Amino acid sequence: MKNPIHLTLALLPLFACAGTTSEEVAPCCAEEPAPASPSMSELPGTSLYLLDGDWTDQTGVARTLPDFQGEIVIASMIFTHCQYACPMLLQDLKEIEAEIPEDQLSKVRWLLLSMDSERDHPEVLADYAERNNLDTQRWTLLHGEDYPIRGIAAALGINFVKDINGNFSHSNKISVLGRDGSITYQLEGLNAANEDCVEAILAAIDQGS
Amino acid sequence: MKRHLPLLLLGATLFGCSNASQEATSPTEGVKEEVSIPLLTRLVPIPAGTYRPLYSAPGEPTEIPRPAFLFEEHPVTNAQYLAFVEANPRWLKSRVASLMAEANYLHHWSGDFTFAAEAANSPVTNVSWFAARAYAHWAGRRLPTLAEWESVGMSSKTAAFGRDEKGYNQRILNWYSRPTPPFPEAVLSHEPNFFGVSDMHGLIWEWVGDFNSSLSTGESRGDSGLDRNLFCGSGSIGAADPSDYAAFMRFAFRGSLSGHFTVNNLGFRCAADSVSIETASPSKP
Repeated sequence: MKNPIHLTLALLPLFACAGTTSEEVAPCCAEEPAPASPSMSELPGTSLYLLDGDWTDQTGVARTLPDFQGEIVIASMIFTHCQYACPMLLQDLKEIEAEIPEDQLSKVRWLLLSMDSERDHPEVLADYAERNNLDTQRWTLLHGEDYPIRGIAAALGINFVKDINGNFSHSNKISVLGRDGSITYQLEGLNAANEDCVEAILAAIDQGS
Repeated sequence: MKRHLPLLLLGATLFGCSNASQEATSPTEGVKEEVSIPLLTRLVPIPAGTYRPLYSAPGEPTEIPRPAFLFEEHPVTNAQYLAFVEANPRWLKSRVASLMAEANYLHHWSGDFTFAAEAANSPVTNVSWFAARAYAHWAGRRLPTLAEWESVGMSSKTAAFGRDEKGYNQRILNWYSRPTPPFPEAVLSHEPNFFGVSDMHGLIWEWVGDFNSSLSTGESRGDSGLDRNLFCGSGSIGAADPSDYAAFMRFAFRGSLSGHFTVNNLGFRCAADSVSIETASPSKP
Protein backbone atom coordinates (compact mmCIF):
# COMPACT_ATOMS: atom_id res chain seq x y z
CA MET A 1 0.00 0.00 0.00
CA LYS A 2 1.23 3.45 -0.93
CA ASN A 3 0.30 5.19 2.27
CA PRO A 4 1.11 3.35 5.48
CA ILE A 5 -1.10 5.69 7.47
CA HIS A 6 -4.12 4.49 5.58
CA LEU A 7 -3.28 0.94 6.50
CA THR A 8 -3.16 1.63 10.18
CA LEU A 9 -6.32 3.65 10.09
CA ALA A 10 -8.10 1.00 8.11
CA LEU A 11 -7.53 -1.37 10.99
CA LEU A 12 -8.99 0.84 13.66
CA PRO A 13 -12.58 -0.08 12.86
CA LEU A 14 -11.69 -3.74 13.33
CA PHE A 15 -12.24 -3.12 16.99
CA ALA A 16 -15.91 -3.09 17.72
CA CYS A 17 -17.44 0.29 17.79
CA ALA A 18 -17.92 0.36 21.53
CA GLY A 19 -17.64 3.95 22.59
CA THR A 20 -16.74 5.11 19.12
CA THR A 21 -17.73 8.67 18.53
CA SER A 22 -17.65 10.69 15.39
CA GLU A 23 -14.66 12.59 16.78
CA GLU A 24 -12.62 9.41 17.03
CA VAL A 25 -13.52 8.16 13.60
CA ALA A 26 -13.30 11.42 11.76
CA PRO A 27 -9.49 11.69 11.36
CA CYS A 28 -9.38 8.67 9.11
CA CYS A 29 -11.92 10.17 6.84
CA ALA A 30 -9.91 12.77 5.03
CA GLU A 31 -11.64 15.08 2.63
CA GLU A 32 -11.43 14.04 -0.95
CA PRO A 33 -8.77 16.08 -2.73
CA ALA A 34 -10.16 19.46 -3.67
CA PRO A 35 -10.22 20.42 -7.34
CA ALA A 36 -6.65 21.18 -8.38
CA SER A 37 -7.11 24.53 -10.03
CA PRO A 38 -9.64 27.28 -9.52
CA SER A 39 -10.74 27.10 -13.15
CA MET A 40 -11.87 23.52 -12.59
CA SER A 41 -15.03 24.69 -10.92
CA GLU A 42 -16.05 26.06 -14.31
CA LEU A 43 -15.63 22.72 -16.04
CA PRO A 44 -18.85 21.07 -17.20
CA GLY A 45 -19.99 17.93 -15.36
CA THR A 46 -19.01 15.85 -18.37
CA SER A 47 -15.34 16.92 -18.31
CA LEU A 48 -12.74 14.20 -17.83
CA TYR A 49 -10.61 16.85 -16.15
CA LEU A 50 -12.78 16.46 -13.05
CA LEU A 51 -11.06 13.12 -12.39
CA ASP A 52 -8.51 13.05 -9.59
CA GLY A 53 -5.10 11.65 -10.22
CA ASP A 54 -1.43 12.40 -10.53
CA TRP A 55 0.39 11.45 -13.68
CA THR A 56 3.97 11.71 -14.90
CA ASP A 57 4.82 12.37 -18.53
CA GLN A 58 7.58 10.78 -20.58
CA THR A 59 10.04 13.49 -19.50
CA GLY A 60 9.39 12.74 -15.82
CA VAL A 61 7.33 15.90 -15.24
CA ALA A 62 4.28 15.64 -12.95
CA ARG A 63 1.04 16.26 -14.80
CA THR A 64 -2.66 16.36 -14.02
CA LEU A 65 -5.36 16.01 -16.64
CA PRO A 66 -6.54 19.64 -16.35
CA ASP A 67 -3.11 20.62 -17.75
CA PHE A 68 -4.54 19.78 -21.14
CA GLN A 69 -7.48 22.13 -20.82
CA GLY A 70 -7.69 24.39 -23.89
CA GLU A 71 -6.23 21.83 -26.28
CA ILE A 72 -8.07 19.35 -28.45
CA VAL A 73 -6.99 16.03 -26.97
CA ILE A 74 -7.01 12.68 -28.74
CA ALA A 75 -6.82 10.18 -25.88
CA SER A 76 -6.01 6.46 -26.07
CA MET A 77 -4.80 3.83 -23.64
CA ILE A 78 -1.89 1.51 -24.37
CA PHE A 79 0.85 -0.51 -22.73
CA THR A 80 4.28 -0.47 -24.33
CA HIS A 81 4.87 -4.24 -24.13
CA CYS A 82 1.78 -4.82 -26.25
CA GLN A 83 2.60 -6.92 -29.30
CA TYR A 84 -0.66 -6.92 -31.13
CA ALA A 85 -3.26 -4.24 -30.65
CA CYS A 86 -1.34 -1.19 -29.47
CA PRO A 87 0.99 -0.99 -32.50
CA MET A 88 -2.13 -1.10 -34.68
CA LEU A 89 -3.84 1.50 -32.54
CA LEU A 90 -0.79 3.72 -32.85
CA GLN A 91 -0.83 3.24 -36.61
CA ASP A 92 -4.51 4.25 -36.66
CA LEU A 93 -3.67 7.37 -34.67
CA LYS A 94 -0.85 8.31 -37.04
CA GLU A 95 -3.16 7.91 -40.01
CA ILE A 96 -5.64 10.24 -38.37
CA GLU A 97 -2.85 12.69 -37.59
CA ALA A 98 -1.84 12.66 -41.26
CA GLU A 99 -5.34 13.83 -42.19
CA ILE A 100 -5.18 16.96 -40.03
CA PRO A 101 -4.01 20.06 -41.94
CA GLU A 102 -0.48 21.12 -41.02
CA ASP A 103 -1.56 24.53 -39.72
CA GLN A 104 -4.05 22.95 -37.31
CA LEU A 105 -1.72 20.36 -35.81
CA SER A 106 -0.43 22.63 -33.06
CA LYS A 107 -3.95 22.73 -31.58
CA VAL A 108 -4.12 18.99 -31.13
CA ARG A 109 -2.57 16.93 -28.31
CA TRP A 110 -2.11 13.19 -28.86
CA LEU A 111 -2.35 11.61 -25.44
CA LEU A 112 -1.29 8.04 -24.73
CA LEU A 113 -2.15 6.89 -21.22
CA SER A 114 -0.43 3.71 -20.13
CA MET A 115 -2.48 1.09 -18.28
CA ASP A 116 0.74 -0.62 -17.16
CA SER A 117 1.62 1.13 -13.89
CA GLU A 118 4.33 -1.38 -13.05
CA ARG A 119 6.44 -1.33 -16.20
CA ASP A 120 5.66 1.84 -18.14
CA HIS A 121 7.75 4.31 -16.20
CA PRO A 122 8.56 7.67 -17.81
CA GLU A 123 11.86 6.49 -19.29
CA VAL A 124 10.13 3.48 -20.84
CA LEU A 125 7.54 5.79 -22.32
CA ALA A 126 10.24 8.14 -23.66
CA ASP A 127 11.93 5.20 -25.32
CA TYR A 128 8.62 4.06 -26.79
CA ALA A 129 7.98 7.54 -28.20
CA GLU A 130 11.40 7.57 -29.81
CA ARG A 131 11.10 4.08 -31.28
CA ASN A 132 7.75 5.00 -32.78
CA ASN A 133 8.86 8.42 -34.07
CA LEU A 134 6.33 10.33 -32.01
CA ASP A 135 6.88 14.08 -32.02
CA THR A 136 6.72 14.85 -28.31
CA GLN A 137 5.84 18.46 -29.09
CA ARG A 138 2.41 17.08 -29.94
CA TRP A 139 2.39 13.63 -28.32
CA THR A 140 2.32 13.16 -24.57
CA LEU A 141 2.66 9.78 -22.87
CA LEU A 142 1.48 9.43 -19.28
CA HIS A 143 2.42 7.05 -16.49
CA GLY A 144 0.13 6.77 -13.46
CA GLU A 145 -0.82 4.54 -10.56
CA ASP A 146 -3.63 2.00 -10.76
CA TYR A 147 -6.21 4.25 -9.11
CA PRO A 148 -6.15 7.04 -11.74
CA ILE A 149 -5.68 4.46 -14.51
CA ARG A 150 -8.91 2.64 -13.58
CA GLY A 151 -10.66 5.99 -13.30
CA ILE A 152 -9.72 7.31 -16.72
CA ALA A 153 -10.40 3.90 -18.26
CA ALA A 154 -13.90 3.88 -16.77
CA ALA A 155 -14.51 7.43 -17.99
CA LEU A 156 -13.30 6.56 -21.50
CA GLY A 157 -15.25 3.29 -21.46
CA ILE A 158 -12.14 1.18 -21.87
CA ASN A 159 -12.08 -2.31 -20.32
CA PHE A 160 -8.84 -4.03 -19.49
CA VAL A 161 -7.57 -6.98 -17.51
CA LYS A 162 -4.03 -7.94 -16.57
CA ASP A 163 -2.97 -11.53 -17.17
CA ILE A 164 -0.57 -13.60 -15.09
CA ASN A 165 2.36 -12.50 -17.27
CA GLY A 166 1.70 -8.84 -16.58
CA ASN A 167 0.28 -8.22 -20.03
CA PHE A 168 -3.13 -6.75 -20.68
CA SER A 169 -6.18 -7.62 -22.63
CA HIS A 170 -7.92 -4.37 -23.38
CA SER A 171 -10.50 -2.70 -25.56
CA ASN A 172 -9.31 -0.28 -28.22
CA LYS A 173 -10.81 3.14 -28.38
CA ILE A 174 -9.78 6.57 -29.64
CA SER A 175 -11.50 9.47 -27.86
CA VAL A 176 -11.67 13.09 -29.00
CA LEU A 177 -11.90 15.58 -26.11
CA GLY A 178 -12.97 19.17 -26.61
CA ARG A 179 -11.15 22.05 -24.93
CA ASP A 180 -13.12 21.56 -21.72
CA GLY A 181 -12.27 17.85 -21.52
CA SER A 182 -15.66 16.51 -22.59
CA ILE A 183 -15.73 13.60 -25.01
CA THR A 184 -17.03 14.73 -28.39
CA TYR A 185 -16.38 11.57 -30.36
CA GLN A 186 -15.14 8.00 -29.89
CA LEU A 187 -13.79 5.59 -32.46
CA GLU A 188 -14.00 1.95 -31.42
CA GLY A 189 -11.91 -0.91 -32.65
CA LEU A 190 -8.83 -1.23 -34.80
CA ASN A 191 -8.57 -0.40 -38.49
CA ALA A 192 -11.91 1.35 -38.35
CA ALA A 193 -12.82 3.94 -40.97
CA ASN A 194 -11.41 7.20 -39.63
CA GLU A 195 -13.24 9.87 -41.69
CA ASP A 196 -15.73 10.61 -38.92
CA CYS A 197 -12.95 10.86 -36.37
CA VAL A 198 -11.01 13.36 -38.50
CA GLU A 199 -14.23 15.29 -39.00
CA ALA A 200 -14.84 15.33 -35.24
CA ILE A 201 -11.33 16.63 -34.55
CA LEU A 202 -11.68 19.44 -37.08
CA ALA A 203 -15.09 20.30 -35.65
CA ALA A 204 -13.62 20.40 -32.14
CA ILE A 205 -10.85 22.72 -33.36
CA ASP A 206 -13.44 25.04 -34.90
CA GLN A 207 -15.54 25.02 -31.74
CA GLY A 208 -14.85 28.24 -29.90
CA SER A 209 -11.56 28.98 -31.64
CA MET B 1 -42.65 -12.81 -0.41
CA LYS B 2 -40.46 -12.29 2.61
CA ARG B 3 -40.82 -11.32 6.21
CA HIS B 4 -40.47 -7.66 5.44
CA LEU B 5 -42.23 -6.02 8.32
CA PRO B 6 -40.30 -7.44 11.26
CA LEU B 7 -37.05 -6.85 9.44
CA LEU B 8 -37.85 -3.26 8.71
CA LEU B 9 -38.76 -2.72 12.34
CA LEU B 10 -35.51 -4.32 13.37
CA GLY B 11 -33.68 -2.08 10.92
CA ALA B 12 -35.33 0.98 12.39
CA THR B 13 -33.99 0.20 15.84
CA LEU B 14 -30.46 -0.49 14.68
CA PHE B 15 -28.91 2.94 14.78
CA GLY B 16 -25.37 2.14 15.56
CA CYS B 17 -22.61 4.32 16.78
CA SER B 18 -22.71 6.08 13.46
CA ASN B 19 -22.93 9.80 13.96
CA ALA B 20 -25.10 9.98 10.88
CA SER B 21 -28.73 10.15 11.78
CA GLN B 22 -31.17 9.31 9.05
CA GLU B 23 -32.32 12.90 8.73
CA ALA B 24 -30.01 15.83 8.50
CA THR B 25 -30.69 16.71 12.08
CA SER B 26 -28.07 17.21 14.73
CA PRO B 27 -25.52 14.41 14.66
CA THR B 28 -26.40 12.94 18.03
CA GLU B 29 -30.15 13.03 17.69
CA GLY B 30 -31.75 9.67 17.18
CA VAL B 31 -28.63 7.72 18.05
CA LYS B 32 -29.57 4.90 20.36
CA GLU B 33 -27.36 3.14 22.82
CA GLU B 34 -27.73 -0.35 21.28
CA VAL B 35 -24.72 0.20 19.10
CA SER B 36 -24.66 -1.91 15.97
CA ILE B 37 -23.48 -0.23 12.81
CA PRO B 38 -20.33 1.85 13.22
CA LEU B 39 -19.52 4.79 10.97
CA LEU B 40 -17.15 2.52 9.11
CA THR B 41 -18.07 -1.12 8.76
CA ARG B 42 -16.12 -3.70 10.73
CA LEU B 43 -13.41 -5.37 8.64
CA VAL B 44 -13.23 -9.15 8.63
CA PRO B 45 -9.89 -10.83 7.90
CA ILE B 46 -10.05 -13.14 4.89
CA PRO B 47 -7.14 -15.60 4.75
CA ALA B 48 -5.19 -16.21 1.57
CA GLY B 49 -6.95 -18.60 -0.74
CA THR B 50 -7.56 -19.32 -4.35
CA TYR B 51 -9.91 -17.84 -6.85
CA ARG B 52 -11.40 -19.90 -9.65
CA PRO B 53 -12.07 -17.44 -12.45
CA LEU B 54 -15.27 -17.98 -14.37
CA TYR B 55 -13.38 -17.53 -17.60
CA SER B 56 -9.83 -18.57 -18.28
CA ALA B 57 -7.83 -18.79 -21.46
CA PRO B 58 -6.40 -22.15 -22.53
CA GLY B 59 -3.10 -22.79 -20.79
CA GLU B 60 -3.91 -20.43 -17.95
CA PRO B 61 -4.41 -21.91 -14.49
CA THR B 62 -8.00 -22.53 -13.44
CA GLU B 63 -7.11 -21.52 -9.89
CA ILE B 64 -5.32 -18.27 -9.12
CA PRO B 65 -3.79 -17.49 -5.72
CA ARG B 66 -5.66 -14.73 -3.95
CA PRO B 67 -3.74 -12.99 -1.14
CA ALA B 68 -5.25 -12.41 2.29
CA PHE B 69 -7.18 -9.19 2.69
CA LEU B 70 -9.70 -7.44 4.92
CA PHE B 71 -13.32 -7.22 3.87
CA GLU B 72 -16.23 -5.22 5.24
CA GLU B 73 -18.71 -7.58 6.82
CA HIS B 74 -21.70 -5.96 5.13
CA PRO B 75 -22.42 -3.48 2.32
CA VAL B 76 -22.19 0.27 3.02
CA THR B 77 -25.53 1.54 4.33
CA ASN B 78 -27.46 4.71 3.55
CA ALA B 79 -26.58 6.11 6.99
CA GLN B 80 -22.88 5.39 6.45
CA TYR B 81 -22.98 6.93 2.99
CA LEU B 82 -24.63 10.04 4.41
CA ALA B 83 -21.54 10.67 6.55
CA PHE B 84 -19.44 10.53 3.38
CA VAL B 85 -21.49 13.05 1.40
CA GLU B 86 -21.63 15.35 4.43
CA ALA B 87 -17.84 15.44 4.43
CA ASN B 88 -17.51 15.61 0.63
CA PRO B 89 -20.03 18.02 -0.89
CA ARG B 90 -18.96 17.24 -4.45
CA TRP B 91 -20.77 13.92 -3.97
CA LEU B 92 -24.06 15.49 -2.93
CA LYS B 93 -27.04 14.39 -4.97
CA SER B 94 -27.53 17.96 -6.21
CA ARG B 95 -23.89 18.58 -7.09
CA VAL B 96 -22.38 15.39 -8.45
CA ALA B 97 -20.75 15.66 -11.91
CA SER B 98 -22.58 13.80 -14.65
CA LEU B 99 -19.30 12.23 -15.76
CA MET B 100 -19.17 10.38 -12.44
CA ALA B 101 -22.82 9.61 -11.73
CA GLU B 102 -25.88 9.62 -13.93
CA ALA B 103 -29.08 11.48 -13.08
CA ASN B 104 -30.52 8.66 -10.96
CA TYR B 105 -27.68 8.94 -8.43
CA LEU B 106 -29.21 8.48 -4.94
CA HIS B 107 -32.61 8.42 -6.61
CA HIS B 108 -34.15 6.92 -3.44
CA TRP B 109 -33.01 9.87 -1.30
CA SER B 110 -35.53 12.69 -1.06
CA GLY B 111 -32.82 15.34 -0.75
CA ASP B 112 -29.09 15.88 -0.35
CA PHE B 113 -29.19 14.61 3.24
CA THR B 114 -32.53 12.86 3.56
CA PHE B 115 -33.94 9.41 2.99
CA ALA B 116 -36.67 7.27 4.54
CA ALA B 117 -35.86 6.39 8.15
CA GLU B 118 -36.37 2.68 7.55
CA ALA B 119 -33.65 2.73 4.89
CA ALA B 120 -30.91 3.91 7.27
CA ASN B 121 -29.38 0.48 7.70
CA SER B 122 -30.20 -0.82 4.26
CA PRO B 123 -27.38 -0.96 1.75
CA VAL B 124 -26.98 2.28 -0.16
CA THR B 125 -27.84 1.77 -3.83
CA ASN B 126 -28.12 4.05 -6.85
CA VAL B 127 -24.43 4.85 -6.43
CA SER B 128 -21.98 4.86 -9.32
CA TRP B 129 -18.62 3.12 -9.38
CA PHE B 130 -16.90 6.52 -9.19
CA ALA B 131 -18.91 7.32 -6.07
CA ALA B 132 -18.24 3.93 -4.51
CA ARG B 133 -14.51 4.20 -4.92
CA ALA B 134 -14.49 7.81 -3.72
CA TYR B 135 -16.21 6.56 -0.55
CA ALA B 136 -13.63 3.80 -0.16
CA HIS B 137 -10.81 6.29 -0.67
CA TRP B 138 -12.30 8.61 1.94
CA ALA B 139 -12.59 5.72 4.38
CA GLY B 140 -8.89 4.85 3.89
CA ARG B 141 -9.95 1.65 2.16
CA ARG B 142 -10.48 0.48 -1.41
CA LEU B 143 -13.03 -1.42 -3.43
CA PRO B 144 -12.50 -5.20 -3.53
CA THR B 145 -11.18 -6.75 -6.70
CA LEU B 146 -13.45 -8.99 -8.70
CA ALA B 147 -11.33 -11.96 -7.60
CA GLU B 148 -11.66 -10.99 -3.93
CA TRP B 149 -15.40 -10.50 -4.14
CA GLU B 150 -16.09 -13.69 -6.06
CA SER B 151 -13.81 -15.83 -3.91
CA VAL B 152 -15.67 -14.77 -0.76
CA GLY B 153 -19.01 -14.83 -2.56
CA MET B 154 -18.65 -18.48 -3.41
CA SER B 155 -18.49 -19.59 0.20
CA SER B 156 -21.50 -21.04 1.96
CA LYS B 157 -22.31 -20.86 5.64
CA THR B 158 -20.08 -23.80 6.41
CA ALA B 159 -17.45 -24.02 3.67
CA ALA B 160 -14.99 -21.64 2.03
CA PHE B 161 -15.88 -23.18 -1.29
CA GLY B 162 -19.60 -23.74 -1.12
CA ARG B 163 -20.40 -23.50 -4.76
CA ASP B 164 -20.67 -27.27 -5.15
CA GLU B 165 -23.04 -27.55 -2.21
CA LYS B 166 -26.57 -28.62 -2.94
CA GLY B 167 -28.86 -25.62 -2.99
CA TYR B 168 -26.07 -23.01 -3.12
CA ASN B 169 -26.81 -21.84 -6.63
CA GLN B 170 -30.54 -22.24 -6.23
CA ARG B 171 -30.66 -19.92 -3.22
CA ILE B 172 -28.84 -17.19 -5.14
CA LEU B 173 -30.90 -17.68 -8.26
CA ASN B 174 -34.11 -17.56 -6.23
CA TRP B 175 -33.04 -14.13 -5.04
CA TYR B 176 -32.07 -13.00 -8.55
CA SER B 177 -35.55 -13.91 -9.73
CA ARG B 178 -37.39 -11.90 -7.09
CA PRO B 179 -38.46 -8.33 -7.90
CA THR B 180 -36.45 -5.55 -6.28
CA PRO B 181 -38.20 -4.17 -3.16
CA PRO B 182 -38.38 -0.36 -2.58
CA PHE B 183 -35.47 -0.71 -0.16
CA PRO B 184 -33.23 -3.71 0.31
CA GLU B 185 -33.47 -5.33 3.73
CA ALA B 186 -31.27 -3.97 6.49
CA VAL B 187 -27.74 -5.34 6.48
CA LEU B 188 -26.86 -8.19 8.85
CA SER B 189 -30.39 -9.58 8.68
CA HIS B 190 -29.08 -13.01 7.70
CA GLU B 191 -26.45 -15.41 8.95
CA PRO B 192 -22.89 -14.67 7.83
CA ASN B 193 -20.99 -17.00 5.52
CA PHE B 194 -17.98 -19.16 6.34
CA PHE B 195 -15.69 -16.13 6.59
CA GLY B 196 -18.04 -14.18 8.83
CA VAL B 197 -19.10 -11.93 5.97
CA SER B 198 -22.80 -11.16 5.49
CA ASP B 199 -25.11 -10.20 2.65
CA MET B 200 -22.94 -11.28 -0.27
CA HIS B 201 -26.11 -12.56 -1.90
CA GLY B 202 -29.70 -11.71 -1.22
CA LEU B 203 -29.78 -7.94 -0.78
CA ILE B 204 -27.97 -6.17 -3.61
CA TRP B 205 -25.39 -6.51 -6.36
CA GLU B 206 -22.04 -4.92 -5.56
CA TRP B 207 -19.45 -2.88 -7.44
CA VAL B 208 -15.90 -4.18 -7.60
CA GLY B 209 -12.84 -2.03 -8.27
CA ASP B 210 -12.08 -3.71 -11.59
CA PHE B 211 -15.65 -4.07 -12.82
CA ASN B 212 -14.41 -2.91 -16.21
CA SER B 213 -12.07 -5.84 -16.68
CA SER B 214 -14.59 -8.00 -18.48
CA LEU B 215 -13.73 -8.44 -22.14
CA SER B 216 -16.84 -10.26 -23.06
CA THR B 217 -20.11 -8.48 -23.52
CA GLY B 218 -21.88 -10.98 -21.32
CA GLU B 219 -24.18 -11.82 -24.20
CA SER B 220 -23.76 -15.57 -24.06
CA ARG B 221 -24.87 -16.32 -27.60
CA GLY B 222 -22.39 -13.93 -29.20
CA ASP B 223 -19.46 -14.52 -26.89
CA SER B 224 -17.89 -17.66 -28.22
CA GLY B 225 -14.67 -15.74 -28.75
CA LEU B 226 -13.21 -12.29 -28.68
CA ASP B 227 -13.54 -9.78 -31.45
CA ARG B 228 -9.87 -9.11 -31.93
CA ASN B 229 -10.52 -5.72 -33.47
CA LEU B 230 -12.20 -4.55 -30.28
CA PHE B 231 -10.16 -6.45 -27.75
CA CYS B 232 -6.54 -7.35 -27.52
CA GLY B 233 -7.02 -10.80 -26.04
CA SER B 234 -4.96 -13.93 -25.79
CA GLY B 235 -7.01 -16.13 -28.05
CA SER B 236 -10.23 -17.82 -27.20
CA ILE B 237 -11.51 -17.76 -23.68
CA GLY B 238 -13.60 -20.50 -22.18
CA ALA B 239 -15.72 -20.77 -19.09
CA ALA B 240 -14.17 -22.76 -16.24
CA ASP B 241 -17.41 -23.82 -14.60
CA PRO B 242 -20.37 -23.65 -16.96
CA SER B 243 -22.71 -24.78 -14.20
CA ASP B 244 -22.15 -21.67 -12.13
CA TYR B 245 -25.06 -19.86 -13.63
CA ALA B 246 -25.29 -17.27 -10.83
CA ALA B 247 -21.70 -16.21 -11.47
CA PHE B 248 -22.48 -15.90 -15.17
CA MET B 249 -25.30 -13.53 -14.29
CA ARG B 250 -23.00 -11.38 -12.17
CA PHE B 251 -20.39 -11.44 -14.91
CA ALA B 252 -22.93 -10.41 -17.52
CA PHE B 253 -24.31 -7.69 -15.25
CA ARG B 254 -20.85 -6.22 -14.61
CA GLY B 255 -20.12 -6.34 -18.32
CA SER B 256 -23.17 -4.18 -18.97
CA LEU B 257 -22.11 -1.41 -16.57
CA SER B 258 -20.33 1.88 -17.10
CA GLY B 259 -18.58 3.73 -14.28
CA HIS B 260 -21.27 6.41 -14.01
CA PHE B 261 -24.25 4.06 -14.02
CA THR B 262 -26.51 3.96 -11.00
CA VAL B 263 -28.84 1.03 -10.45
CA ASN B 264 -31.48 0.62 -7.75
CA ASN B 265 -30.13 -2.71 -6.50
CA LEU B 266 -26.42 -2.04 -6.98
CA GLY B 267 -24.32 -0.94 -4.01
CA PHE B 268 -20.86 -1.75 -2.69
CA ARG B 269 -18.68 -2.60 0.26
CA CYS B 270 -15.00 -1.81 0.85
CA ALA B 271 -11.90 -3.91 1.36
CA ALA B 272 -8.42 -3.21 2.68
CA ASP B 273 -5.02 -4.81 2.41
CA SER B 274 -4.01 -7.21 5.16
CA VAL B 275 -1.11 -6.23 7.35
CA SER B 276 0.12 -9.74 7.70
CA ILE B 277 -1.00 -12.94 6.07
CA GLU B 278 0.01 -14.95 9.14
CA THR B 279 -2.35 -13.18 11.50
CA ALA B 280 -5.36 -13.57 9.25
CA SER B 281 -7.68 -16.41 10.06
CA PRO B 282 -11.29 -17.02 9.19
CA SER B 283 -13.82 -16.14 11.81
CA LYS B 284 -15.80 -19.30 12.34
CA PRO B 285 -19.53 -18.97 12.06
